[in-house]
Amino acid sequence: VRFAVFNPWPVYGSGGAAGWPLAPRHALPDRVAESAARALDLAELADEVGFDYVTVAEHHYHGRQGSAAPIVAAAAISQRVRRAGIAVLGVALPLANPVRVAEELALLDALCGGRLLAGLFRGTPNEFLVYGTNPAQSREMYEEAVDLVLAAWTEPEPFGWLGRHYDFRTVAVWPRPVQRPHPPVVTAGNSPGSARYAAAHKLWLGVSFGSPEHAAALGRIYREAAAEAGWEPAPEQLLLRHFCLVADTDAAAGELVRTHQFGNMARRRPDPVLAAVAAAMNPPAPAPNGTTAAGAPAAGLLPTRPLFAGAPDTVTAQIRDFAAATGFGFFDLIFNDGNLPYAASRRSVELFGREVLPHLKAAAGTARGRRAAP
Amino acid sequence: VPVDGFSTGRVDAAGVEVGYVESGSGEPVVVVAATGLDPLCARLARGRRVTAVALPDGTARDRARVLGAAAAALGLGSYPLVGAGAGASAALWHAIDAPAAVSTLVLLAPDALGRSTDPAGPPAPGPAGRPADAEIDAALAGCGVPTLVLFGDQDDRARHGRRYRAALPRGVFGIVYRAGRDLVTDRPAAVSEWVGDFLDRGPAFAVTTRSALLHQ
Repeated sequence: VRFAVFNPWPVYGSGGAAGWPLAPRHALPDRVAESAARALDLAELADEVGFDYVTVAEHHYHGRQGSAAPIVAAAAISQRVRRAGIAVLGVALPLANPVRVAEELALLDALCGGRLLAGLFRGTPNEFLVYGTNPAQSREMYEEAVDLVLAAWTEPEPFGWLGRHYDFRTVAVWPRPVQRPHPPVVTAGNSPGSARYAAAHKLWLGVSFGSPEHAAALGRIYREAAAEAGWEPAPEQLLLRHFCLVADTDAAAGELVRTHQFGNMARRRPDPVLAAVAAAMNPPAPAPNGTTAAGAPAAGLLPTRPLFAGAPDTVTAQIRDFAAATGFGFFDLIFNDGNLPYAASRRSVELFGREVLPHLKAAAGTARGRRAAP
Repeated sequence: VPVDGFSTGRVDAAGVEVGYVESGSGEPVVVVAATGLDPLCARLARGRRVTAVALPDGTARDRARVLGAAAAALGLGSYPLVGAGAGASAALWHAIDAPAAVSTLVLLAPDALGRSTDPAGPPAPGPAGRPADAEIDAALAGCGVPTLVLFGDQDDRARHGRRYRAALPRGVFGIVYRAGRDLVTDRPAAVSEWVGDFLDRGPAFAVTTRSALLHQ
């Protein structure tokens, strides 16, 4: 079993501003600097209390998720943690030059001593507005870009790439990743099709939010498709991302969740532009603002509260039950969101690391430091 | 090998009668004829004199000698040369044996290399091919002809591409996405564009000419 602290890198103080994109005028200099310092501080704490990975992700144009350049953020974190691995979960691949992504992740793998977990994601619908990515082609672009990144990491000689969406006459990535043949790769598997894709390509499965039943169903599809492809994923290759809040008592945790609406992603306003992007995706995707492609509310799609919340004993039991029900063995947990006071997030990470993580590790018989296989 | 718009002919290649088809005008290009290459020949014939030569059965090196004799009999002088599969092996040997005749070489999914342990990665799945041919491995290092080698990413011999790239002094290796062994059949327009560009510009085809200008 593996545990990561996923830091959305919120710009504290900007969370009350609504809408996407969020006007950059809300990004006040002192808040931006303070948020970066807190992100590094939280990473150091996660490392100190025993988490296996510190995670960053790519999201754009909003203060809730301020790591638009996740590899830059990860590079900074890599120089502050001593034992934990670095998880970039993930890069929004259709937005970027895949060769550049391969180069930067390879360098990051060197910076963190071969402890990189690389997420190659398609991106949420709003991301396709950032650099003018055609949503209808994003699936094709994504799948080709994954193959190109893997080729760039593993081909020992310079090569050209005659793709459908990418055309490179010369590719020769230096440095190659420290991990061979390449760092473990996670892909987002929030739909049956993407879960099957991950299995067919022998990539790790990453599921964001959703209910235990939803995760279990995707996990089943993933394992069945992996068996068809001739391999069997380990539990740690099935990753769940969700909110987590640990406090000294169940009551205190509940109060923090209620007061600060921690983990409530379903309170955003419907946005017709984002709904149009989602509708243009192939197949159409739920819009990221809690609406369906047609603009109707999508109840249950996004979380309204943390899946794991309470005193340490409570959270231990919740995660143990989730793992038993779903077969997932990697928990990428969000302890901060810009609304929850930072001190509470810090305390939550500390309690998890000291009073939850050791029990779950002991029960699973895993200790930090065992290198994951690609 | 009939191709729409191409005329047919026969030529005496040092005692071996060789059939060919021909179309277009301008600088010559010789193609070792094989099934599935029609779209490529048609594309190349828009700006060149394309001669597709049907070689008799035999070893790759014997076929290479016939190829050279046929091209000489047709008065082609120095020319770019394109081969696919087994035809690529003949084209490669011709470039090795007669470098003055071959200005540029394109090998599509060539089968010239035999089985080899690949120190750079896991072995390719599927058939391993013939036993290694020490003669061709040694000869590649002496081939100074600018050479483009293409393999489809679905081809179980795709990893041979890196061996050509490593051994050929002026070799360029390209991976054709979503293509198997019949590259031209799977990706006709894309492969034809790369081959045509390589014939036009040689290794300098790595310099893009695609405009980045969106609006005046």
